[in-house]
Amino acid sequence: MTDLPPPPESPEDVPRAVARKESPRTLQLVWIVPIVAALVGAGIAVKAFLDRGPSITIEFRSAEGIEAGKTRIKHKSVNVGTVRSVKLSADHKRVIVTAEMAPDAKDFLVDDTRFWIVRPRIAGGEVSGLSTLLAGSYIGADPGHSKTARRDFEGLETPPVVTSDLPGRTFTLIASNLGSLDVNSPLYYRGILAGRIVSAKVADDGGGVKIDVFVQSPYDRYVTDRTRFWNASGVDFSVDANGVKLETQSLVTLLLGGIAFESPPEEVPAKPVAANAQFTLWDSRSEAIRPRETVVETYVMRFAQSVRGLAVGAPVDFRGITVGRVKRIDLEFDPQTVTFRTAVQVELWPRRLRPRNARPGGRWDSTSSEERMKSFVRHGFRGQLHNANLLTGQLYVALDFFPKQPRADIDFSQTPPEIPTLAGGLGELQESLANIIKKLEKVPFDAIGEELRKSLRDLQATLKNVDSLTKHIDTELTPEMRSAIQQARKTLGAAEKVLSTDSPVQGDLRETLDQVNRAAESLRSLTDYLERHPESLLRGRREERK
Amino acid sequence: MIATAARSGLLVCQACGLLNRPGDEAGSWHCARCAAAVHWRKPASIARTWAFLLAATILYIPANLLPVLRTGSLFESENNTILGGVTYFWKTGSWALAIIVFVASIVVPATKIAVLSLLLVTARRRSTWRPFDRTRLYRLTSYIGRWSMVDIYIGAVSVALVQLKPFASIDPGPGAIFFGAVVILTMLASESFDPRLIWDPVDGRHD
Repeated sequence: MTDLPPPPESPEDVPRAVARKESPRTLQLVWIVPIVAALVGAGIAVKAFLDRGPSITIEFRSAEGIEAGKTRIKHKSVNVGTVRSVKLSADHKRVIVTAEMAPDAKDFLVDDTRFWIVRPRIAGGEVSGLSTLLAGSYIGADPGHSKTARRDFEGLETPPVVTSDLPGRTFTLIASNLGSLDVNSPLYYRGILAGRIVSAKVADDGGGVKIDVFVQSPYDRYVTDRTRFWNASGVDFSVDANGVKLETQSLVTLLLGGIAFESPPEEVPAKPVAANAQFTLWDSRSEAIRPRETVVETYVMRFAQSVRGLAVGAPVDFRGITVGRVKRIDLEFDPQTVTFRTAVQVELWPRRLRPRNARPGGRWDSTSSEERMKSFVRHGFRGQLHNANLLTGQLYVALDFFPKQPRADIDFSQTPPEIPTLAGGLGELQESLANIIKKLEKVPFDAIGEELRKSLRDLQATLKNVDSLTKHIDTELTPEMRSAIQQARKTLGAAEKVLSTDSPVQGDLRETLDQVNRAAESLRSLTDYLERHPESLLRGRREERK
Repeated sequence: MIATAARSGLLVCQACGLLNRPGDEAGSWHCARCAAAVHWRKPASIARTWAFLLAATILYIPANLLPVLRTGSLFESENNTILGGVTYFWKTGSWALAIIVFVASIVVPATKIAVLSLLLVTARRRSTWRPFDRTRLYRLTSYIGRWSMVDIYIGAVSVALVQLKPFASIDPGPGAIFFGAVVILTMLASESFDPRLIWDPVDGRHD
């Protein structure tokens, strides 16, 4: 600082600064800069605050593929949120994913919204989530329709079968067993894929399985109060009194299982049902489509014969028309006669017996079922066990009229009333066989046997005689035979000599034949002549005119 | 007492260094030689610097919070903030790169803001505390200011180079604008600060 040059002697040497007239600028203008910056900053802050969507938690069993700050929550491939943190639950059993949702994704935060992790997956015959192989997993979201707000969710382990925006309805099926069905198994209506199984769980009382099926629009309107659902899994192979049956739905159901539904055609118009209505899942189509009887009467029939081959559910048949089925089969013992009888309890569907030509409200309808049955039995209405199939030995109960049978009555004071029976079918056959055997027993097999033995002894003696005879022939007759044959051979040799070409006999023979030939020629000329001049036979040969 | 131009009733032209006597009229005075504006001291230097510094400080927050680059690959796009990039480089082992980016983008602007605040506070309080060091700090501030732009430069280069749509692309994010604004505002702040204010109280001590 000591190096500073000395101050100028006279300030007048220093030029005077040029003054310019200027409006005195308000220096405070510079403060606009921080104000603008503050406004921009505040704007961003406000925007960030407003953009900050609600934060939710989702619980998963595993956080495989989820990264805090990176994994997105997507609905229809649109980002609706981002995972902020992933941590273990307090008991270390589950993973709690905290995610920040987009502010406009408020409708996602309701009770029935579902979240699941989208990973590559091969299930139910389809492959999904392939894009996540390269881009990483994300969390799929399916917004619910509920009005109840919710912030903590339970993540699904598998993607939901149907998304909530798919039109259609869900119904509940009650089955005894899930069998080869599974979540995502297809649902068919007349062979067309119409929905899927959404969930399956054991019923609360443990006595069955509750299966939720989703029927997509427009097929859901075919589900009415008459609709029957049945398990169309694999091959439905059944052997019963009606023979062998084989039913399949499609190749897919053959492999993966499936459900089919159909409404049996009926005159009464079907009523539509509300969503979540309950149905029974039948085991097979025939079981499902079988008409349900409204009027059922129970009777019992007692048979003295074996009921082997008669199953519960076997048809009760009247002249080929099924009018009921076997309900239960029991043994009954009569201690007085010490006999067993089988009591076959059947349910009859009397509406099926109603003739087509019966006038409504006519005599048929005015007669009570009891009176009608009494009259039937009086006219020989009897039950019989018939063989439905000789190969499988299945039996069925046949009802028919046997007018020549002794008169019987049905007692309606018993429950259930008993329809009299006749032995029939295989039982009858067995009886006849028994008769035949009885008759066979009367045949004196002992005496016949004795006779036979005697005859055999005689035969033996005869055979012995024959034996000695042949020996005799051997020893005495054979040498003579041999000499006779030698003689014959000699004779033949002589004959051969005589017949050979150069033998004199042959030459004579040829000559003779020539003469015979000539004679035949002259005979031919004679016949020719006679043909031409038959009159010469009478008139003699005319002289040739020269 | 040290004779300074101001004390001698003279003004120094900051552009060409010519001494001027005050003008004879009120208004703004201009150098008689080069016509640049001359003042006794930069007018409202402290207030002006404060204004720029405040603006820079405010914008420093979004500059660091908002993404500077948006990198997109075939399947997803990702937003990168400066700090996110630094941690990414650090984690992947590019420590040198991480340090460079960290120093240039985080340390330097923050240091500038801190240093300028210190200078302003001491100048306002007419502090005589370590004037040499403070002057050195000021020179350092105006020297390293330009290097803060290294981030923006990298960003601009990569945006231009990586445009392989749809496989990969890099786009600037809103953070880049704020970051650039911070750098410019701190430079403006250090420009508007008059370092002579550091020395005025020191010289005056001998009065």
